[in-house]
Amino acid sequence: MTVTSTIAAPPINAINNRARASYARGYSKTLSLMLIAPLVLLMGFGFLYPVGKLLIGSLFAPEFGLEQFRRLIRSPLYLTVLLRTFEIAFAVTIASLFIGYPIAFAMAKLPRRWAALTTVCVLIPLWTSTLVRSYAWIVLLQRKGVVNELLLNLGWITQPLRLIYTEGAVIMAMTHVLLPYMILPIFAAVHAIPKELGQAARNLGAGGTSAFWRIMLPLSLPGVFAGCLMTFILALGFYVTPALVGGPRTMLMATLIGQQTTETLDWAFAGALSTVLLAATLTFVIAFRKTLSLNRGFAGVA
Amino acid sequence: MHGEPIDILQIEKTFGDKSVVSDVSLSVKAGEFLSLLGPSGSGKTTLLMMIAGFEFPNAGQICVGSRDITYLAPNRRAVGMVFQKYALFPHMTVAQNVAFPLRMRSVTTKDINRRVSEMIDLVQLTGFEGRYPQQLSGGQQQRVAVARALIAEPPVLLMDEPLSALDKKLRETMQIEIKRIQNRLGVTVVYVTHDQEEALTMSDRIAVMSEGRLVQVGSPFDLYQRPATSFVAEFVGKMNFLNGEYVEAELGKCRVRISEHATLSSDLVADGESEQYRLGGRVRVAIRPEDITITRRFEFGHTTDNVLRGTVEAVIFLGQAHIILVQIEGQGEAPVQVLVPSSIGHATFVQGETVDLVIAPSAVRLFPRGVGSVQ
Amino acid sequence: MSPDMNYALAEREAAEMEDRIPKHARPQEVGLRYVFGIATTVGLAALLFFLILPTVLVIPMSLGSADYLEFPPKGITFKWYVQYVTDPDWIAATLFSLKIAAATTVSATIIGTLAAIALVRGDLPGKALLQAVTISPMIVPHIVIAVSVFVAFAPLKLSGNFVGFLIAHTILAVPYVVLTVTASLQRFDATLELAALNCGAGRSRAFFSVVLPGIAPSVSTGAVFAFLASFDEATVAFFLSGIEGKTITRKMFEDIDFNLTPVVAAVSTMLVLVSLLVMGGLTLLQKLHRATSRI
Repeated sequence: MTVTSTIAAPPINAINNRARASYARGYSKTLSLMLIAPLVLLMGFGFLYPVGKLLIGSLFAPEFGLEQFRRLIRSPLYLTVLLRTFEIAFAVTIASLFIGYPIAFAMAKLPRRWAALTTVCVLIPLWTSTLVRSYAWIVLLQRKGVVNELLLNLGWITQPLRLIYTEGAVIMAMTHVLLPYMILPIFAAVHAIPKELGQAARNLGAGGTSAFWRIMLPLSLPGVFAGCLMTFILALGFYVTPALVGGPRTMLMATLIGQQTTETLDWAFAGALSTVLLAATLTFVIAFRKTLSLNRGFAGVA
Repeated sequence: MHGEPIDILQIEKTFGDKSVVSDVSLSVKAGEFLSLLGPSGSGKTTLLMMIAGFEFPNAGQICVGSRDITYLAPNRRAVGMVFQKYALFPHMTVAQNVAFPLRMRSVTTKDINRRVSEMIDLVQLTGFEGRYPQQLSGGQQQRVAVARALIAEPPVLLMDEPLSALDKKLRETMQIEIKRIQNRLGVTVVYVTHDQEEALTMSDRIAVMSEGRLVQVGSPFDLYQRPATSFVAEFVGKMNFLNGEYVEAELGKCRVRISEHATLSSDLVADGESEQYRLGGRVRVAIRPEDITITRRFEFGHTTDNVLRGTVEAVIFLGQAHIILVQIEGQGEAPVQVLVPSSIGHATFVQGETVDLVIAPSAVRLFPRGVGSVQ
Repeated sequence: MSPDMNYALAEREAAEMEDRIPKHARPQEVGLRYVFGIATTVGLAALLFFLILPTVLVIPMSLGSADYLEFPPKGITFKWYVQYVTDPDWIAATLFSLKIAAATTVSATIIGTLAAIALVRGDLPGKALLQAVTISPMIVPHIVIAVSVFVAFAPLKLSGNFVGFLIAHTILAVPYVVLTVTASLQRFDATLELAALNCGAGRSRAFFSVVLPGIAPSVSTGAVFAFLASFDEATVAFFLSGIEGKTITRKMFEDIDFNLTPVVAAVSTMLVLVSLLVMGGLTLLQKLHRATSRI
């Protein structure tokens, strides 16, 4: 039985545009645009517009030109701040790596119960406000703080040490605050290494140490790169911890921008500083991305 | 019987520049079990998706009964579907999964409960109503999927390789089960598979697809006995292929030279068809393994017509039969497979022995080289 | 609080569950004794101590009876907590923060989920760019966002104002929602949606009855991240707060600078407990959910 004869025949070989609206391949363009519109509006008004306005504003004060940027270069003070920001971010990244790697490795490789304990020790700071943790470092390091009291009571020192508002304090506190950002990517990388690889290495005659240096460490490098990138860019632009633990002599880009905004009310200069900070951050993000993919290509060759 | 016919007319479908279904016309009778058979990428799943309404054709028409459903939204088609990995809703129980199509159609709760329990009974899952899909075995999930697809009594049921995730034993049980349910309800079934054995077992008719085109439509017997192209011959059932040279045609018989000493004649070439072969042209010769009679070599000094001489390479035991691999003299092709029922015995043939293969002219099929071949 | 890392953990855990390898089946690779000698154990303990001590230090400090922070605390008292809850300034700041965090949770979750759906399943021009813009508030230094928003919102009367905070905090929180929901949608079997359509459900019905329940755990994870991203947020809050509209974090900033009474320690403890309760509760709930849905 055939029904085709009863149907008024449309031009069935005409190309039909409805063919593109496939249900199997997701939502239509109109619907998709409607779904993303709130986000685009929000980002446009609350993020791109303000940031753009600040950056462009730095080019128009007093009139169009690079005057604000010239100020930055001309003054040794600002250059020192810029340099110090990089130094501290670098130091924080290195410190986080050396503290974070063993912790991440322990999280991934220790027997279950110990790994769980380590994980809890990582998660609790991760879940806690950075403001609270920065405050804790004030409590620890201030003149009559925990560390000084402890050392005095033990009789190791007779005068309270000047700990807070130093570069060391800023590095230590920021390392602590940013540590989870280093630990978790490394943990993910180490955890993803099939345990058979370690066993295979041992089976092929590698000792425990040799298996670590030749198998575990190289394979965990992508996590190390990701962790370092994350820690470094966060450290570059971090405000809360240096604002609380640092002093005038440990002024960083972030705190300088804050000072220009609220104290000197020099918004054009704050915009110029923000531009520099943002450019530095984005440069590192993009550069590191390349390093990551280069690394992958290298792995393919080797 | 509530099955309805499906008429597919000159369907075209392209993804970007790539044509995936071209000029497919096909009629499925009410209550028929039709399989779309083809290798992956042949367009069979895309065709099914167009019947289900998940993809729309660039041109052509699809009708169920007397309704044109070509561009109808998938939720208004009343076409049931069983997906490859069942696609059961993981957050709903078996009963909730099966009831889902009825809830979408605002059937009263009382009716839903009655029909769900009937359907669960039909697919033999009574007692499992409260379970979640992930608590069921693969076969049970399959039954739930069938029940869900059929509960709203669609006139057409589409199945997309529904048994491919199951192991061989369970697959055979489910094949019988699906046929039983189909016979009970009389629904029209379009069944996509790449497994030719499954298609042969289950179907009333099979539509073979290759590279987006329909190659042949026919009953399993037709396809097996009279493959239209060497692609179908190779894809459906086991087939031996030999290279030959077309030497003559007389009185409805065609003769092909296989090697220096051996020729095969065929009476399976239709009148008009022989014209596509020219004398001295290369042809592909296709012979089913069960159509060959294997004997110890004839004592005559030279081989006669329709006898191929070769050497036994291996004997493979299959259970109900043996496969004997014979390398034909003067043929570079893979060894010919000969199917010998176990009752006849294989012990008489040993590796390295010279044997003669006798092939009736009625079992020799000729295909032009290159055209429609999978190579 | 760093939800993106939580997100990484949660996702990894989900992936692990999907592998259906029971954790206890993992052999104890090499005994603790062999890989880590006693020295390394001590070293590791020291590192963990460094990690955990400054976080929990505020708890004993908030209980000290002296009028300044003393260590070790000599007597135990709850008077700083009493002072906190009876101080109208603290209470106003707390309520303001809670209000903002609640509203941010709602707006970030809805906007982020919709965007994630469009980004994963939709047909959008310039998807890569949209994705980059969505994630960028995680990469752009918060000080830059804070100062920009402060400068741009002041003339619009949006500074020190609930709406201003809602917009700024939603921007900071939305990437977490987009990331968690995107990952979950990518794992979600799209044929389930087709199955729902085939069963007669319309597009929106298919979404609400099949897709949404499937991604609900990730949406709720995203919501919790959004809440904490707002409630614990200090940088934008520092600049955008006014005399009237002041968040709890801004109030803490001021009190840390001006007087170091143990009230700040009490407030800090409260913040720590809120974070731990919310995140711990979420983790527990999701463990339970996975346990019940995957028997």
